[in-house]
Amino acid sequence: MNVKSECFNLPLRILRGGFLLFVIMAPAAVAEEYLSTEEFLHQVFGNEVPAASKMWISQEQRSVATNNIGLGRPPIRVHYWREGKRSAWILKEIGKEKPITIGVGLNAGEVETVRILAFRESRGWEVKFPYFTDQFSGAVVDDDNQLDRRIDGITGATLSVNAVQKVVRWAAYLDRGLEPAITADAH
Amino acid sequence: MPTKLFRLFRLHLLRWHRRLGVAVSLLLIWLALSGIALNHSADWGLDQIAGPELLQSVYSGDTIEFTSYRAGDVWVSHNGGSTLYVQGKELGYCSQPFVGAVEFDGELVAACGDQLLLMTPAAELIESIDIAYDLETMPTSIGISEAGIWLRGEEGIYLADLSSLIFDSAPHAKESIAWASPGLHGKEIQVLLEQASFGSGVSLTQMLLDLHSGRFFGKMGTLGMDVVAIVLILLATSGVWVWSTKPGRFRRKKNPIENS
Repeated sequence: MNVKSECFNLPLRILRGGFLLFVIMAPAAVAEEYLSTEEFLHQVFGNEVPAASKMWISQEQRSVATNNIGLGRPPIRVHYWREGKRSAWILKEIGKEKPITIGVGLNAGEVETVRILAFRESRGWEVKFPYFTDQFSGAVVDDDNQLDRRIDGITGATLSVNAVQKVVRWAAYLDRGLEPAITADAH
Repeated sequence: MPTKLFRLFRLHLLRWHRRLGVAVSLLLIWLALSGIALNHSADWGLDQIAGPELLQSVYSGDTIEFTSYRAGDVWVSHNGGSTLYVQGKELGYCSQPFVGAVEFDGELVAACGDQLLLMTPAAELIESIDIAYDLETMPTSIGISEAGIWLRGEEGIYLADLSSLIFDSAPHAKESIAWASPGLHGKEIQVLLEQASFGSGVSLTQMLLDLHSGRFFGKMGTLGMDVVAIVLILLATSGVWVWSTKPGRFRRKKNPIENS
């Protein structure tokens, strides 16, 4: 093969490679990713998963959720699972237009696990990757409902990143409301 | 050595590439600017602002086909997009397919795609529950019996325990299930639904989106944008082809040291 034809083929090869990469990556970009409730609960509690409990959200808690944490429209009831000082919450928050289902596992008020269970937006799905969710491991939320650490954002996924941070703060706030009961259990 | 025919074809292509480029240049600038605005519409709050009054009149003839289900004493309606309404009042996000709503234990339960929405009759969201991974399919209908709430999927029917979040597969229900079926919500609800849907007018984001896609001008606008898209593909391919076939484009430059 002479130099001319090799040079001529190079840009074509790059274009062809780019097109193939686009074809492979395009469906992945729009797919919804799911982790089942059961799988998430096993990740938090191991094999012994406690029964689900319900918590009615008071007017005061809703006010904190919207005014302090910045949630859009918090529900008036949530389900959670609790065993000793460990609790798991499955909560939702709108990223841009659609709700993201986020699982948060806490142990004695410290964030242990953050997982994306369902992602419905067309953009910002990078938040499901462990390199993002693992940043929350060991985080503590203070009395003003702020995380004790800075979470690195993801370019192009700002709204999803914000939604995950808000839900983690919301879960920690709700978990704090359970604390007396947990302490009583521990005693 | 390129043939005369090849040179002639390349020359014609270059001429038409320039003409088409000039013809769509303004439109391309508009597409780029509106695309940037749409990308940042949430950050800039464009979705909270109503579009110009002059352009609102274009949308005046628009109607929305609402699907409504009677649940207890109220109507639960869906706009065919992603919004649910209770008695004409907007509740929030509800994905497709919306397959029905029922009243159970004083709460309203709507089946929206991969979620069950639990609501009060005053259009307050109590809770939303993901069901897709428990049912392994999206429900095709929702119903009630004395035992509780039932969901029908492609694989069978399920009894939903919304307290413990357990969905029991029950191939043969022992009792009769009242499956939700759509109904006619009447004029009063229709007026409320239209007020809730259009509100203060179509948002600037929606207008930009319609102008960007050509939908603002109806079917002809969409077709026009399709033509522009094809022209852009032609411009890109002809541009790359003309660039790469320029005589001597990939010829290696002679090393001056070798020459001397």
